[in-house]
Amino acid sequence: MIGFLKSGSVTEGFAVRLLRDVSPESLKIGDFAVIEGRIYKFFGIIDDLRLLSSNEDVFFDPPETPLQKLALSGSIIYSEIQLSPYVMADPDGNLMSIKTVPEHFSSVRLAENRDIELVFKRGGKPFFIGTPLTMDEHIYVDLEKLSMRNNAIFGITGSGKTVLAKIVFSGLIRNEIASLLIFDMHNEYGRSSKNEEGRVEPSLKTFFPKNVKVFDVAHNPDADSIITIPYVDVDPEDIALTSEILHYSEKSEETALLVRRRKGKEWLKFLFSLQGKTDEELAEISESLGVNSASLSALIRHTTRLSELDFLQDTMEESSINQILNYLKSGISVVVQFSGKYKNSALVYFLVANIISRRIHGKHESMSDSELKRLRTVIVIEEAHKFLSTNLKERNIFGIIAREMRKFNVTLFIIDQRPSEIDPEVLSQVGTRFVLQMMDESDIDSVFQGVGGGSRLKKILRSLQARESLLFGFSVPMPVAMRVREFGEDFFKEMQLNSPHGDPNKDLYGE
Amino acid sequence: MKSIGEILLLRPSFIAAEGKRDFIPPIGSLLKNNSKPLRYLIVVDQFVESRIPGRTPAPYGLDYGDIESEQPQSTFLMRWMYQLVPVCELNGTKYEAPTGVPDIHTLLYWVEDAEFTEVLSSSSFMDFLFRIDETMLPQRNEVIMRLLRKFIVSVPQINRDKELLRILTRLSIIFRNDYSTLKQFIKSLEVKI
Repeated sequence: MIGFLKSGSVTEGFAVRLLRDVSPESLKIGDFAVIEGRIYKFFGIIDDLRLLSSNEDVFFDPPETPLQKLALSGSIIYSEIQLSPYVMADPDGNLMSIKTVPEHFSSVRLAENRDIELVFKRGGKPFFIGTPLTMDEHIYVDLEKLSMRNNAIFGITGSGKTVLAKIVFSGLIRNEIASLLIFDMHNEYGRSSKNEEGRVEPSLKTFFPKNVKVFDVAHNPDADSIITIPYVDVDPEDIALTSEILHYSEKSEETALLVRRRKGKEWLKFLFSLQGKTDEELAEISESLGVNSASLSALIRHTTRLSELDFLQDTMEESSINQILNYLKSGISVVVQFSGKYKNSALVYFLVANIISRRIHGKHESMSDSELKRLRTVIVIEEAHKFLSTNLKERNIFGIIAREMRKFNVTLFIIDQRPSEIDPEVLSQVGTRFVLQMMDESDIDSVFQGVGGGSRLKKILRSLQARESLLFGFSVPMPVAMRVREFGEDFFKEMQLNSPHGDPNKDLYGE
Repeated sequence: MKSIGEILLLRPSFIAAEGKRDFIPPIGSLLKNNSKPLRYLIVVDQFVESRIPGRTPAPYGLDYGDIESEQPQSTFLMRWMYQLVPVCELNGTKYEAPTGVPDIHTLLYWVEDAEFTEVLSSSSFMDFLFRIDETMLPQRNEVIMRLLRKFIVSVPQINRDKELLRILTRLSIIFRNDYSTLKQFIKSLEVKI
């Protein structure tokens, strides 16, 4: 027992007075605690600790010896914790949201392993994701539930987003919950990646060689295929998301749509063929197309960079998009990487992600209910704020997926460090959030916008270190501050059942 | 068991016993009677008065040691008294508030070591100590301090810290609104460690 319930309410949480022999230093923000009510157990998180005194005179003549200090503890000076309750359990262990308050003086203790198990290891497909900050018990996330809604991992660089994402994605693939389509901006989710210390670590393709296919827009020895997108598979709407990079105005968008209307699927090939034409020639073509000559010139100029992309080809070969869609349909996850000269190319990342996602959107919308039942796709995007900013709201396929595609079994998994730049409407659709270290106040505010008890969770967030995460939302019964499980030998062993050699390191480094 | 005095004065709010000449229990001593109900009383003051009402001692100009040999009547005419305040009664194993005053001529005895430790170890006894009305007995805190000091010293060294902490903790609750008094107690008791 660490203390007893002093006061509080369902909405504001509980004040717990600590016993005199319990040092506040033995407790931390984010610790799990249990209030033993007469009927129910109340599970909560410590979100604040306070030092208090019943008599201010003590500060004018402070205790001089350790014994004096000890003698005053618990009466003149004392400590309290603020405990936010999230769920309560009846005597049969059934969890429910907080609907009542425990009695005064109910005893309060730190949660034990059995409590963590009671709260987190329930139905569905529980997956070990981490441990409470001060305990070794496993925290489980319900992967079924996780995949049903949009999810997000937020955190600054170096906070551990990638490792956490790899763990979650491994869980989704291994348990065959969903097919993942990962737009892997920094090439971390394919065969291997380098960790913060520069050490090479296995990644999804190594863990699940049969269940993961790696595509790349450029030559990459780790990739299963190089992406080829025929010109005919590109729509003007696919380019719209890259408008900022291409300096592409709304007028250019309209012009592109007109060109497509006139030239059909060959519109892009036609547009590229106009490069190098004289003004007179362009004026003539514009007239025949019924578009403004200046606008056409601008559109040609703006799309010149697209003609330089190797993976966009004038070919009638099958588009890689179809292959990707077929893999996803058959339950195989796809990692799209960006190597060679396209490494760190925002244009290519946005363009490819947009094209493929738009096709998935169209495909799923046209599927029957029975087809959809068998198919669940999670689209993973990094640097999500660039896709989901308020500016791009109207023409943004990812915004549409986030808002409307849950019923078509397509959800988004956002990985980002600037949530404040994401459209709040999209953020409101995020079911489960993993929030690692964050520094910027506006980012912190946006992560907790519309979240019940957000101000209390913010306090916990501020106490997190690297590789620690606050997890809350749809797939867990209550928020939890956790240490992300080790992405090391134990995890690799757990995943090795899926590896042909039985050891991901052997896959990676050879025998 | 040898008596240490006899109650001879019983007035409203004032109980006094006569002790032996040249030895009366120190202020802060814990005494008890030897009959039912068993009462615990604390010595709160000492005084010497004439046995003959209205008589005042005459000056002899002698050192105290010489008075007895040269003017023995002067000491025969005096009595050595101490004032007592009932703290509580023992009812079975339970300490309760005093139900009344002891009878006149009640003989008083020391509370011996083991019993003394047992009584002082009781938090309810401690509470009864502080129920003594300070407005009626301004020296109450000083008296209690002496009693507690005596107790602390009587506790074996090995348990002394623990007992002191227990007492101080109790005091810190009793005096949570009177920090300066609490500090006096703490300093007074700590010195004895």
